Amino acid sequence: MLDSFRALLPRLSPKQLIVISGLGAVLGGGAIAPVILLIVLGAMGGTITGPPEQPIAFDHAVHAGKAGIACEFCHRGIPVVENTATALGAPVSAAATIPSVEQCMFCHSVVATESPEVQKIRAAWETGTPIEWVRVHRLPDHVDFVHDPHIRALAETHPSFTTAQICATCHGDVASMTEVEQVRALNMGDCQGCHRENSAPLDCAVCHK
Amino acid sequence: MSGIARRRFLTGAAALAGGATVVACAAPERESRVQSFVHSPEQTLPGQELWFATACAHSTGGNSVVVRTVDGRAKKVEGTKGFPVNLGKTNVRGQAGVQSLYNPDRLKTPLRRRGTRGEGRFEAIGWPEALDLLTEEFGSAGNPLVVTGPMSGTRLRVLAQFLANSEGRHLVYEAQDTATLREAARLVFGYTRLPHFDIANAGAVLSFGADFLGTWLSPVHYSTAYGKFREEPKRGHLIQIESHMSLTGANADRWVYVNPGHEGALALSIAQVIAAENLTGDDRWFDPVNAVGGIDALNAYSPELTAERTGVAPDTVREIAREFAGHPPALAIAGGAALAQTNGLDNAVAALLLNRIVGGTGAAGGVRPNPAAPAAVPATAAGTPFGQWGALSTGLLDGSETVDAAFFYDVDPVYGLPASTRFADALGEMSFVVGMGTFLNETLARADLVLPATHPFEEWGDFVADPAPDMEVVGYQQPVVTSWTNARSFGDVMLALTSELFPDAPPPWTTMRDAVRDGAQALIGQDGFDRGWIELLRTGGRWLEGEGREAQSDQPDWHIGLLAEPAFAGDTTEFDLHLIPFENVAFGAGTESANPWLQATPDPLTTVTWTTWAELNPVTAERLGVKRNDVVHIDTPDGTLRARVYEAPVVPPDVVAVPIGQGREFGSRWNVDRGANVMQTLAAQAVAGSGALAWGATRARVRPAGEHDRLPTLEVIEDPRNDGEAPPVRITSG
Repeated sequence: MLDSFRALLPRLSPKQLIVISGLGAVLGGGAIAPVILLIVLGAMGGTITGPPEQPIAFDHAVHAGKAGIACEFCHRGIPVVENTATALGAPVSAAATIPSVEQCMFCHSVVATESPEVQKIRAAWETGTPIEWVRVHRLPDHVDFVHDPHIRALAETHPSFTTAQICATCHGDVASMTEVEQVRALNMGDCQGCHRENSAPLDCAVCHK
Repeated sequence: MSGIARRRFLTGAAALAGGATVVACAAPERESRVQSFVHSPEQTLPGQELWFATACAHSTGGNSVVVRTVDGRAKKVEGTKGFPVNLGKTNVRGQAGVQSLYNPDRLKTPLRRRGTRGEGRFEAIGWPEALDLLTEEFGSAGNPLVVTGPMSGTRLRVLAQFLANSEGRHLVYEAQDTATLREAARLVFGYTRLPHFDIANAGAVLSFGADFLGTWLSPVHYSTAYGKFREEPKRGHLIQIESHMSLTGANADRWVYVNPGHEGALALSIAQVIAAENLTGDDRWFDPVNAVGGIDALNAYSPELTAERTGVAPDTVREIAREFAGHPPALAIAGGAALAQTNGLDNAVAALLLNRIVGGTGAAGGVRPNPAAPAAVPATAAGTPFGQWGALSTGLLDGSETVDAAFFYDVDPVYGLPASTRFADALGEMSFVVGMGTFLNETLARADLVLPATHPFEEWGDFVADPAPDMEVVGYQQPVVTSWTNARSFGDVMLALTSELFPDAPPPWTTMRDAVRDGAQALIGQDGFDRGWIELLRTGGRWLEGEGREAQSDQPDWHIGLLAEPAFAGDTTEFDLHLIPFENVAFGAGTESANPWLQATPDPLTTVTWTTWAELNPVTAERLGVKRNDVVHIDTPDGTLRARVYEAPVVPPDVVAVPIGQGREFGSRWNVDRGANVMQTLAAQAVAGSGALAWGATRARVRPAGEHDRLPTLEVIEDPRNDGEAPPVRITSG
């Protein structure tokens, strides 16, 4: 349930949280208890709460780090960028997309078949059951986020970046994470800050369509 | 409030309210989960749209649509660009297709009757069991009967396989039959197919009751044509003659009320003026007039002599004739209640005859013959006229006819035929009845076995446009989504049944897709077929101009002396009003009323939604002592119905007009127990010569029920009873 609140409520930085909580404590009184409750919950949305527990202990450090598999090999909805401003690979989806079970089985029909976690994937494959992953990054419904223009823009402004480096701008160094967690607030202030820095549009309708 | 201080109570209440707000606003838990595909579907990327062209099989005329699908779900419907029938446009029925597709009250699985017939009590069974039952009953049946709606193309070929083997009969039930217009086109022009009425290029259109912008034949095509017809600098002139104002009437330059049943006399009056004043400027009117009886016979219909019958003043008739003939090319069309009279065929013939009189046949802006359908994809099977349904019903009830097994697909004759036909009782005499459709209806509820049919967006098929838009058009239908129900297509069920019953002469195809591909192969040839097939599916079909048009007959096959007086059911003293039913622009004759968007679509003239209303002239309403929103009983010699009054000055004083389409017992939660079914109250009279139902030839009387119930309308009009309620929708700007 708390996960759901976090996704919905305005997010605050830890500093803002301390200031507002302090003010609430000073003013005190039960009459503003619900307000404080909302603020605290809101703040929790912005604070980094650690990686959620996933149904399968998928290790990005092994796949993206040690094995060096490119992000877009599994997340096929994102455009492929090859160290230039030219983004290749169409079509692209608004979402980066979670790989299908079939895609895991490309390799795991022969690789690490004895691993208990891989056997969970095999079971899902054999029974035709989709895996229910827990979302790590979720923007509210009133935000229309599309990966494509962001990746293209970063490729243009940072021609030396690899795709993994572009992804890391918002998602952190996933290649070193055993369990993926959110590293940036990804709230409105965060989006706007980055848009300002990169002279990207700040009109309301750019994101709120 | 003992023990709890006021401040403390308020604090607690506020905290609870805050907590409740937070809980109410929280996103559902499932949104923090994300499922991965097991298999990656080909071409599918999450969130990316795909558009597929398919046929809007439920549309009148035969439209092709493109459907936007995202993640395997149909989201939006648009017209297929370039498809000659609907020219990239759709209408409200096409747009609302997704609401029928995903309607939660669709039939989802085969059902076997548990209760008595008509009770609507069923148990769910599986397809293997249903097919076993079907095979068993049809295997032992001597004379199976298959009843479908208007059908063309491969479905007909598939059905023919079954009928040829089983020696069965095929009856075509049309909710609004076109038999009268087809017969009139044959008599006047010698055409066996419906011709192309070239509204786009006409200079003047004279329409006798044909609501071509709303419901007549191919309204999407004609609406686009109307746009071109009205373009400056030509700006065509539209004259509408009818007994109840339609959407087309509301757009006309001149709207003329004619006494119901006398449209033919008025048409001949107009012809007489054209001849007498030589309005065509030459003698082109002479030969056709001579062929139907000569100028002397026509003179008996001079405006002065017909004024009393038609209710149209002689000067008005002359003005109409001058406007009509003075804007060449002039086009006369007929439809609606004008043809639904006992003398409807004569009315239609007299109206279409005007085209020959002004020479507007064959050329642009006139009545143009259509090419014949290709042999590989048969044209629409002719509808079974009302007279035959009556005869079938009588035969079954008196025991002179028996039906061992009957298959009803996508039709509802129990709903659409007048109650006096007793078709519901006749159905009870059939030994075994199978009903197939997307929703339960009055006919399916009386079946022993109900089969869920796929929605048009879920099945393979093809069709021949009827009327063709001045060229041969074959449209293709492909599934754009996988069915979320356990439904099957009619073609596939027929193929399964045929191969099961007749293993020695199985059909040459195993699935409907094979059959459609086979027809396409015959149409476009073997060479490069794979590419051609993709092209057919991408563009929505194939169309060819020119070749093989029907030849026009030398002269019309009719005589002025044949024009009969209309006969009405009901005594004029007891039943003082004409009952004029009319088709609902949104859901036609009730075939699509299960769809909530269509239910909520306002009638274009009255803005009424969701119910049945009775349009009365304010003078008539005052005489009856009723006002808008009052409930009235409308009695006919054969029944009665309840409706709410809508006063409209454009309704003639001797008419009560009632929309067709509501009053269902079975269907979806959106159309059951809503309004009344006017078709049930009609007298069982046929149009002489065509055998169609004369649904405009019943008289009625209106009596107040003493109740008052606000009509759900979009327009804001003060309720005359001033009951203080706010109107349901308020227009706040403009």
